[in-house]
Amino acid sequence: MLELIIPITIVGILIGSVYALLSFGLSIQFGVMNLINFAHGDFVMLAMYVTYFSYFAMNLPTLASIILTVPLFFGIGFLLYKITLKKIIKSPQLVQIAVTVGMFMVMRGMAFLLFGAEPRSVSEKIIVGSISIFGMSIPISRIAFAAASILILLGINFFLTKTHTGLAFRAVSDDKTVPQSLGINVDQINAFAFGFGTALAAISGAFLMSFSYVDPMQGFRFITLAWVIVVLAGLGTIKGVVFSGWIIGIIETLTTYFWSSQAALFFVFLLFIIILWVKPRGLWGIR
Amino acid sequence: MSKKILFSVLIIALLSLLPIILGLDYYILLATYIIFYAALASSWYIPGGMAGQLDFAAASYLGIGVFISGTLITFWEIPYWVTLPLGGLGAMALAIGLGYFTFRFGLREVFYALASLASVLSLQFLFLLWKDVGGPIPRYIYQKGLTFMRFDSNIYYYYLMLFFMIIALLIGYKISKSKLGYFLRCIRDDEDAAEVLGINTRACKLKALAIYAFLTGLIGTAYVVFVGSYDYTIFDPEISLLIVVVALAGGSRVIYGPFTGALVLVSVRELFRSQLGAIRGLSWIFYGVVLLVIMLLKPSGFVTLFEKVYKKNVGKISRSKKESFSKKNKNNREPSHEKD
Repeated sequence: MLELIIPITIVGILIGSVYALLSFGLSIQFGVMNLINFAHGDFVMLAMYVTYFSYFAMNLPTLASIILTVPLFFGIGFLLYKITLKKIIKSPQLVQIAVTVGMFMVMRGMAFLLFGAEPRSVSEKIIVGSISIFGMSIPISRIAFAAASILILLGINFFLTKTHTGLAFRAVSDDKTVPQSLGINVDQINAFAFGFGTALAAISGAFLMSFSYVDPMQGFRFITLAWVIVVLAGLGTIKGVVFSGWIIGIIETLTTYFWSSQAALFFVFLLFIIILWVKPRGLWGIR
Repeated sequence: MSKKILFSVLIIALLSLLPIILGLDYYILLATYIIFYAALASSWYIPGGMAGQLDFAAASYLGIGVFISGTLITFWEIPYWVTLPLGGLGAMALAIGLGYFTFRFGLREVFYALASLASVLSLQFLFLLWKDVGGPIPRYIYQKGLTFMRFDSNIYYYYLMLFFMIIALLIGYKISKSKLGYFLRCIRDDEDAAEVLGINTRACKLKALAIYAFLTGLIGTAYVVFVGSYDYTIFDPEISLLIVVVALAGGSRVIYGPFTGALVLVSVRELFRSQLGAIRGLSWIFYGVVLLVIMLLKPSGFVTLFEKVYKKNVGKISRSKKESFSKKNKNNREPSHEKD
């Protein structure tokens, strides 16, 4: 039993690291812009499709497709904010949720029309091979991508605490009017934060292609997981996001192994309800 | 006021005569689907429109009603009319369980929206894996007759759905005029202020949600006898999203908004489907675009457009009346001023 649980936990931590990267995009949008984004999971889903098609149509490996998707998704997010979200950033939460739900419905419909409903997956080309841990073989690509996710999160932490723009981000997340009076362009910071979030969705989408398959309904799974991780972590810490990502990843792999992959969401949902009941500010939340 | 009553009686009379006008059973089937969504959207108005809680759990409550009624009829041959209130109560219990944790004061609306959306997916997987009751294969109701509300003609189901729709509208209207309705609107506009004024926000929201879930459960029991079979796919997030879209597009601030939205948009969808065939992604894009356009341009919904036209015409009449009235007054006054 124990020989089984240790490798499963390790696999859970690996996928959980990518989940942490995924949810940090949402966390930054929620924290900085005060925007409730239900479309994040579908950005991840679309990024997975872009990775898939750059793999098969252009014969690009996953790592190369990131170079393509990140600027693309950052631009899409930036424009989407300027065109639509700018209008509703001060609206009630109901309007924000409704608009982002409209976005995800359009994205999902496009995915159904363009790519069909069948699941698709790729196999990694550059980082091949696997190592065996306690009798379970784990692809090296997964370990590499999990490590890359953690490194990117550390880089973001450096950016948010040490650079001028990062400090502006944190100022806007604390208050909206005072930064404006100090000469920070709050609107620009908001647009940048939304683009940043979608760019993180693009990276994590590319990484997730080596962990799982993609179909148009995957957006639901990712948005639920990402919001549960944000709630579990609370706002304001990267450490919390990483640990919560690991917890969710471990729960998911354990249920998938011992029961069914479809039941995983149910346990994540139960955890979500318990966290809201016991600690609504999250386990590591500052505010 | 009497005009409003006259207008609503007229609409209900038209809707109840509709099957006779349509004639063909296939059209009655389509009309039943439209009324089904209109009934769901009308009950959604209670927590969604009045209390401002974005609820995506319509499919959960509907599915609970469907499974309670369906299981009792197929397994133990319990009459439909006995399972009817049980389905409603089951859905209500789930709603209270969900709302109790997510309506805690100080939590944002997003947590209820998220929990309700996740509940649909969780229940879908649970009923897929729970082989004794659900499972992957659809179960059929073979019983016939009035005790099980199973008929060959769709006309009975049309009236059953219409009955539930009118009940939902009446309850919604009653609540909107009651103390609870004022409390709920206060919560929608500013929850902190409502709490400070001494309104028990959690209890009010729970009450609204429980009534809504009860109604949705009832509609679910009607749906299972209407379709005649049930399986786990009733827990479909698409149904929940559809109801939210039609209700918000119609206008969530007035009682006839969700109802009108459902009548118009579901008819348009059925029209598209009959012309183009069922293309899976197309309805997602259609409803997504409708939601985006309405929310960005007119967040109060498209019924406010009709309202504007109505007010313009009525306002003109009343304004001209006022003007003539003030002119009269002027005429009366002016001579007296001149005298002075």
